[in-house]
Amino acid sequence: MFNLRLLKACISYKEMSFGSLKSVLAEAAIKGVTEARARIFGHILNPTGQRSAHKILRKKLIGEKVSQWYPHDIRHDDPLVMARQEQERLEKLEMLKRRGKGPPKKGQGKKAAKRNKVSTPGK
Amino acid sequence: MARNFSVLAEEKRCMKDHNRRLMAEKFEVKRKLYKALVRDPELPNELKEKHRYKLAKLPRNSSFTRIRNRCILTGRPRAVYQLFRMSRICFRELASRGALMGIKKASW
Repeated sequence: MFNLRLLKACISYKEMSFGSLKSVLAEAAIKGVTEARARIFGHILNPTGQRSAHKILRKKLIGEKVSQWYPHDIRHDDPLVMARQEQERLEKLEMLKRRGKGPPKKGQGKKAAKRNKVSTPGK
Repeated sequence: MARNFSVLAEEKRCMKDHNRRLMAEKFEVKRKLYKALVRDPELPNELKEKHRYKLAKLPRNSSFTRIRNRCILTGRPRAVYQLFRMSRICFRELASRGALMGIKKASW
């Protein structure tokens, strides 16, 4: 009876040790495979999840793409169009001037009037 | 007159955004470098602090988060499709006119 129990214990121990050895082997194999994979594809392994600069440095530069969002306006290259726009602007200014809405002369604007008003009571 | 004014204002905002984009492109590498140096766990704390300061001292308009995707035709800041770079309204107009290659209104 005692012998039988011992035998059973022995068998179970053997099984256990065999299982642990297997798991160790499997772990080592998996580790080797991940390392080899990283070496081949140029990855950087960080199994402990530490803070690293690599996460930022591996991203592509997007500046060139971002800066080309707005297309170049071809109207700015055409001297005829630009001349017409300038002409329109000048005409508009001329019209405003005729209606008395042009820019005030020096010392006759709103701000200048206010400044004079403030300074006179003090004198 | 009011419509004219709003168009001008949108144009101005687009110009501003464009300048920001140029700035962002100019400072992109520097910004990335400083950010990476701040993140590096092997550097001493003083150096990290220095780089953090430098990162903060970069021009604010060179930040990518300040950039807003705007419609290239009207300058509308919202509902802009990235692929077409225009707002939903312009897109709909052009697509229904057939001006966009390969775009067709679905109907079944």
